[in-house]
Amino acid sequence: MKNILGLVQGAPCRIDVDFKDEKGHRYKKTAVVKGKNGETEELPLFTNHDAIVGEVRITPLTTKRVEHTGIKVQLLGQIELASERGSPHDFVSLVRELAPPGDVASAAQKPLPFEFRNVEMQYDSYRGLQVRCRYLLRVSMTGKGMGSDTKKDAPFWVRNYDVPPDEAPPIKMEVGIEECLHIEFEYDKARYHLKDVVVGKIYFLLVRIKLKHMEVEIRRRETTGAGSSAHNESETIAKYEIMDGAPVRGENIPIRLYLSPYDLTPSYRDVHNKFSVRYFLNLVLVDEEDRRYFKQQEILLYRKADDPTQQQQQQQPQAPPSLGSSSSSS
Amino acid sequence: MEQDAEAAQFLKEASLSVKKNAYFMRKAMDEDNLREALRYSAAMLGELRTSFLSPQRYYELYMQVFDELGNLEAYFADEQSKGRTLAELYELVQHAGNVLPRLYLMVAVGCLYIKAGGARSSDILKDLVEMTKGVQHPTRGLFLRAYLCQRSRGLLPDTGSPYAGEGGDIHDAVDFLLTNFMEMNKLWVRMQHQGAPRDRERREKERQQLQDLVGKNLTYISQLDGLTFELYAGSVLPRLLEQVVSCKDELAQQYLMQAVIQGFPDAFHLASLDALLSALPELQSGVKLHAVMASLMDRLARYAASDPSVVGQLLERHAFEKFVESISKVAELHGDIPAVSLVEMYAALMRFTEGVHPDKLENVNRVLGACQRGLAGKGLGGDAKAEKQLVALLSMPLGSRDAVTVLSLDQYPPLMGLLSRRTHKDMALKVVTTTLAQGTCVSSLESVEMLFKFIAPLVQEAEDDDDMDEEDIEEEQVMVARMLHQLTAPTPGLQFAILRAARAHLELGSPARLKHTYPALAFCGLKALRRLNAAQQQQQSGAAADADASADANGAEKDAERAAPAAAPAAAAAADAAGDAVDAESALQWLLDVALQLAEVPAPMQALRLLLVCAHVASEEAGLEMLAYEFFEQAFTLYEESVADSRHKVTALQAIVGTLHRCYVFSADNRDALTQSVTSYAAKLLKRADQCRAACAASHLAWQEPPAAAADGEVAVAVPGRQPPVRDAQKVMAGLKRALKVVAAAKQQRAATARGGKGGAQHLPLYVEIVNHYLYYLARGVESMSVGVVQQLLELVGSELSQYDADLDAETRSYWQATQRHIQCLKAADPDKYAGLNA
Repeated sequence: MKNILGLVQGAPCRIDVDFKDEKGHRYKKTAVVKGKNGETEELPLFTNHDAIVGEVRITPLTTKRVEHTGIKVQLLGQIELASERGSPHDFVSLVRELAPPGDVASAAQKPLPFEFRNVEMQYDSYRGLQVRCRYLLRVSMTGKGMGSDTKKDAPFWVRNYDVPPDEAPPIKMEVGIEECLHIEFEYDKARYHLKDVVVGKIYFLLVRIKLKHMEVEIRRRETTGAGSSAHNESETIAKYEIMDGAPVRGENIPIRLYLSPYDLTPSYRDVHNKFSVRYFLNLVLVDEEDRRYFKQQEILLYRKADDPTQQQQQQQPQAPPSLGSSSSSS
Repeated sequence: MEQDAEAAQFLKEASLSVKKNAYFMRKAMDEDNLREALRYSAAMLGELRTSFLSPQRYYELYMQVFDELGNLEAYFADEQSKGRTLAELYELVQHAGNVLPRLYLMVAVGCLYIKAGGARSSDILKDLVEMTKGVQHPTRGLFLRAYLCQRSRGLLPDTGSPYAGEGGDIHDAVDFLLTNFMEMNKLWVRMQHQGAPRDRERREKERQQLQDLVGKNLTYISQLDGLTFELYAGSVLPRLLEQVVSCKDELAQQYLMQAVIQGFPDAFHLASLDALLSALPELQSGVKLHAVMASLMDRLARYAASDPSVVGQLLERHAFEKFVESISKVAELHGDIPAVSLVEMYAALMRFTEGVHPDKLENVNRVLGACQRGLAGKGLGGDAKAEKQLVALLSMPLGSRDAVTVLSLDQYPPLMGLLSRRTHKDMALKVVTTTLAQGTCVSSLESVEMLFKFIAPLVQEAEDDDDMDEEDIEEEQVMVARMLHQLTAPTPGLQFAILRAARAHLELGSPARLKHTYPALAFCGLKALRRLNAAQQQQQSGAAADADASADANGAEKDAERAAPAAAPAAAAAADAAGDAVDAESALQWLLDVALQLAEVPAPMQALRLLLVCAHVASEEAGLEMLAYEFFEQAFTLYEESVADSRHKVTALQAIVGTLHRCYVFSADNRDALTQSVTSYAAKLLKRADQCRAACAASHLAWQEPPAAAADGEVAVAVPGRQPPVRDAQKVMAGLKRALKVVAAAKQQRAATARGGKGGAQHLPLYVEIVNHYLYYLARGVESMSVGVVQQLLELVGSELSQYDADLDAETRSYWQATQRHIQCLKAADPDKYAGLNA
């Protein structure tokens, strides 16, 4: 209403960013990303060294003639720590000029294409508790009277695929409290990809306490800073009950934990010397008095390339992934 | 109670929540929202995570959820047709965070997966049975696994099933069920050890309610088409037993052994008897092994009954011996096994052997012996139940076979001896009744000895027997007495040996018993004696014939004595020959002994009668004067010393007279001695009427008729040493005169007491009686008895009667009238002789 009456001077134009693929069609690869409050948003998804192409469209919002001193698009890669809010660290910053100085109306006459080729985007996008790593295209129009409205951020998501790490020996460990509880547990691997299944087993060697249940937690630990100023923040991503009731000595309880339902990322080590993200499997035993006994074990998560041929194979009905892993564990 | 109400309330709420979630689940399914459907189904299943409910209530909740799961399964099946693969679904349901709902969903989808042919049956089943280990809570685990067991039914790779082949084979099916069974059993057993010890009893009850969940696995195994005996014996049974033994839980072992026995086919049990039995001693001591053994034995017995060829197989495999061994092993290992259990086991074994090998008596004896050994040292411990069982055990052989056969079981009496006095006696009575009911003849010395061992408590006293009253004893001893008559040997010699043996046992009893048993014993002796005599008669006539033919009289007599009557078995004859031979004299001596002992009981009247009977036999059948005299002498002594009651005296005297009258063996001297004694006894009776009657009776002793000829059909007994009949008219008349004198004295006595009324005319019937005696002697032709003498008496009596006509009672009157009629008849029959008589 205010705009219509022209009582308040609004932005002179609207800026839209469209991502395109190589052929000029709408960019289709997207990632669904969870926001802080549980809402999800769908963002274009890229990988390191991808070309990021697209066009910017300017839509004038006023019939007044507005001059600008130039339109440019920036590709930014930022690491933003909660502790230093408002001053993100740019680790990538590329600029393309879109239009020479002129008036807005003429810039709006046709879409303004842009192209970043072979962009170095070595870090994955990440949204954590106290740190985030993000990529965005920032279109800005400069000129007299141009406020924040004439700046447009178009975030996109970056995921990189790891070469599967070398086979590591399975995690095997015997832990316990003397004369009270002795268990041995094993996870079939130390390194899992994000759609993997954790298969394992708990052996109860000695049980003198009355257990109520047992669960496996996936915990994520973000570390920011380094050395003495290092700060850790942990978060439980998943709680997965694997046992109900009290076992007796000699029992063994199977674990099969699908990782796919959870919002996991690969483990990150020293992202731009700013932060690390590590994952742990935390085995928690709870006794009847609600005391918790736990043992935490780091696992390495990585993102496996979605090889299309491989993907197709997975959809073959004859071999459910669960069974494959189960039989290999036995 | 409060707790109960709380639990009921809890169940109500849980059930409401199930309904609510089920509603949303169905709604989500209608809207085809898989994710939501899964979410609500997990929430619904989450209600089953409670630890609050007793198994009974948990079951209610479970059933409710179970029904709803049916809807979900239908929906899942539908999903598949919409392009979502069951493999995906199978993974998807595993994302559920809680283990219990997750596993229920896995089972539901997994079974659909198998049904749809998407996966190898054995793979999925193996996975499910492994993953369900995640539930370690007994009740929840049991129900979850029951659900697995129930859902997977029909999906197993059983032989002949569409899921076999690619999907595995019978071994996988068996493995699956066995694994599930073992896991369930572990949970079930564990239940017992959770919670406070004071709730133990309640828990046990609750566990019992759950037992069928566990047993279902076994049922399903037994129903597998592919279950061959090889598989059963080679794999299933050993693993089952291993589990049963190692779980060390009484309740479980008890139930599972029964389940195995009831669940699998007879033929399997038959062939794997060893394995099954060898597990028994390893079970906990509290397990009711007797029940287990009993079921096994009963089953095999039934099997044998249905298929005759099985009997042979049982024999071949020494089933009986194995049972015996197994029981004793069990008893040995469980030293503290209660007597009742032990006895029940043997009772079952007895049932088995009686059912399968009814002809094998030695088995019965072995069972008895083994049982006795098992109980040796501890006895029944006063346990009424044990005793009842023992009675049942002991009764079994009696039911199916005759008592004599049972008597050959030497292990029987010692076992019986373990019973309490009262029960022992009941058992003994049962033996006796059986013998009587079957009419069995106990015909060998050994059997008799055994028989008395069996019935010892009936024969002998015990300290605690004081609660028996006269009537009880009589009832009991009458049975024994009846039984004595069943002791019949083929030869008289053996018969006496048997009776002697019987007496030796009876003698141990108290006089109160002898009173009832000795008469019977004596009469058995008399019967035997009669047979002996008859046999000798026959032999003599036969020997005579032989002597005529072969002129070898000397040897023939001996031979004849040995040669028993044709009917007698050779063995018995041999027994006679071996020294059991008996003659009449010794037999009578024995009887005398018996009678005298009876007199000491004291039972003077019975002894007296017995002596008289023996006297008569001695006289008339054996012709042994001295013995007959001895009998009379003893009888008289008894009369004098022991018969005190006047009525008894009268009866006794009558008996003496009656017997003596029929004895013809006595020489004049001996006879006189006896007769005089009788006469003086008669005079010493108290009442006039008795004196009179006795005098009349005694008068007959002086006038014997020739002995009656043997009736048709009986062997005429030619008695040696028989004297001619006594005919002494004077003595007859003297006796009658004494009688008349007594009547006269009675009359005077009446007058002296001057008692009026009817009661006073006691002497009147006596007159009539004397008249009748006169008439008798007249008819017999006693010399001094003429018509005139009789007529004189008649007139006297007539006048007496008319004098006291008013006092005459109806009886006497009719007696007199009858006498008068008799006289008329006599006159009519023989007018010449009786012409002078006029009543």
